[in-house]
Amino acid sequence: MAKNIVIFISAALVNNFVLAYFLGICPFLGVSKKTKSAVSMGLAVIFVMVITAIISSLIDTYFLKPFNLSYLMNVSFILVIASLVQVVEMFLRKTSKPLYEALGIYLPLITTNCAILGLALFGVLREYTLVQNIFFGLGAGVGFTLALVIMSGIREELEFADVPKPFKGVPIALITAGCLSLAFMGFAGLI
Amino acid sequence: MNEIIIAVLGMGILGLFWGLILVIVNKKFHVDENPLIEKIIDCLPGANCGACGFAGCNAFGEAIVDKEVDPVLCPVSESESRQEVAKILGREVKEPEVKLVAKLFCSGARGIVEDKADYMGLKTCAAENVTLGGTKACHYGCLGFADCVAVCPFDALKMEEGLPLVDKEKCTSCGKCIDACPRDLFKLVPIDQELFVPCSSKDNAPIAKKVCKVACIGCKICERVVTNGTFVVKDFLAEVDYEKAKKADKKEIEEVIAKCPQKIIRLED
Repeated sequence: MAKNIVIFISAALVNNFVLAYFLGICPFLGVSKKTKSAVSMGLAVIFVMVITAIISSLIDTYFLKPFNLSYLMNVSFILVIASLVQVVEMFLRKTSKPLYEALGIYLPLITTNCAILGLALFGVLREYTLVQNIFFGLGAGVGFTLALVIMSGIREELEFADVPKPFKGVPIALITAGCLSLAFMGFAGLI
Repeated sequence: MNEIIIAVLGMGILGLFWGLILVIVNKKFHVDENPLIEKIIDCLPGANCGACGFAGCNAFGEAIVDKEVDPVLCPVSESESRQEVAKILGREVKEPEVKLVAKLFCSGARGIVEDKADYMGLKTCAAENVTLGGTKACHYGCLGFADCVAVCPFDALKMEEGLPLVDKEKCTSCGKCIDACPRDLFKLVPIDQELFVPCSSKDNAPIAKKVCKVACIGCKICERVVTNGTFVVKDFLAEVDYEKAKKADKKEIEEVIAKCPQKIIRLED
């Protein structure tokens, strides 16, 4: 159990997918303008990540490894991720249209989000068991949401700050992301 | 051989499984869309040019039904399709009066205007304009790298002798060339207007004459010759008021075309 907690904290804080591995920058910069959409994006990603972690672990254990089909790893994982994201899209479209429109194009873009595929591939690479994969997915999702929510809070405040003209918009967001990454490096000695 | 069969079968089953899940979820979470929207979108031209101000024809169709937007906003659609839309919705749609087309307000191609320096950067107008205002001696004029030609979704622009020429038949006044030109040289004019001062130079006479052989120098001869106020000179640049030009004395117009010292007053169809 202790190992699982370590995996969770490592994925969420120490090796944060966005701020340490620089995966999933696209929705990180695209949806972090308002905290509300950031939270919903984060929740959607947690859901996709956990289920992806479970299913890719199962696929690898029972289909890819026994039949020597490791080369099908990328293809099968993307198949699973794409379908899952479609399910989330349809669900959101019916249950909360305003949220669906607030996320806009970034919702289907979760499919191409390298963080999700990265999660699946890391799980296989590090030979995590199914349970470890679940904690890994949870931790990664929570870490992603954390980074996104912190970023959106900062960006909302930046709207009222006196940013010099050349830096307005994306440049100051990227600099902020860099500073945030440096801050998260403080977790390095935690585990 | 065995491996290939297993691989294909395995991926096939995986795909089928997820396809089934998607079908089930789709049925359960089906969202009923207003059937009118589909009909309206079919009437629209489908060019997705964005001239209406919406994100493509689908978004425009939705806006027409949900937000009561005027279908006339689409300059690309034919008058018949707009009346179709009006019939489907049971609304009245007023037609715009005169078709507008784009026109370039510059006559100084790179051969006529000198270059201050050699430009060796990216061959786009936007890039050259950002590079210290470009290397053309006239800093109001056309840079000739055809950003406008590239952006026109209707193939209505062609470069001829260094300047973009508008094909009036193809132009739908969507406005993309106006946005693309970094020097704002395009304006929308009525399709039947022929009298123009195709220049945008606000330089005073000595400078304008030095940099371009045909630039308007703001000498105001046109203001004096044509008495009904067709030509108005502001900031050393003459502009044609088309309404007044239609009512002006034909003889005066001929006279002013001959008298313009730079020969920049032109009848262009």
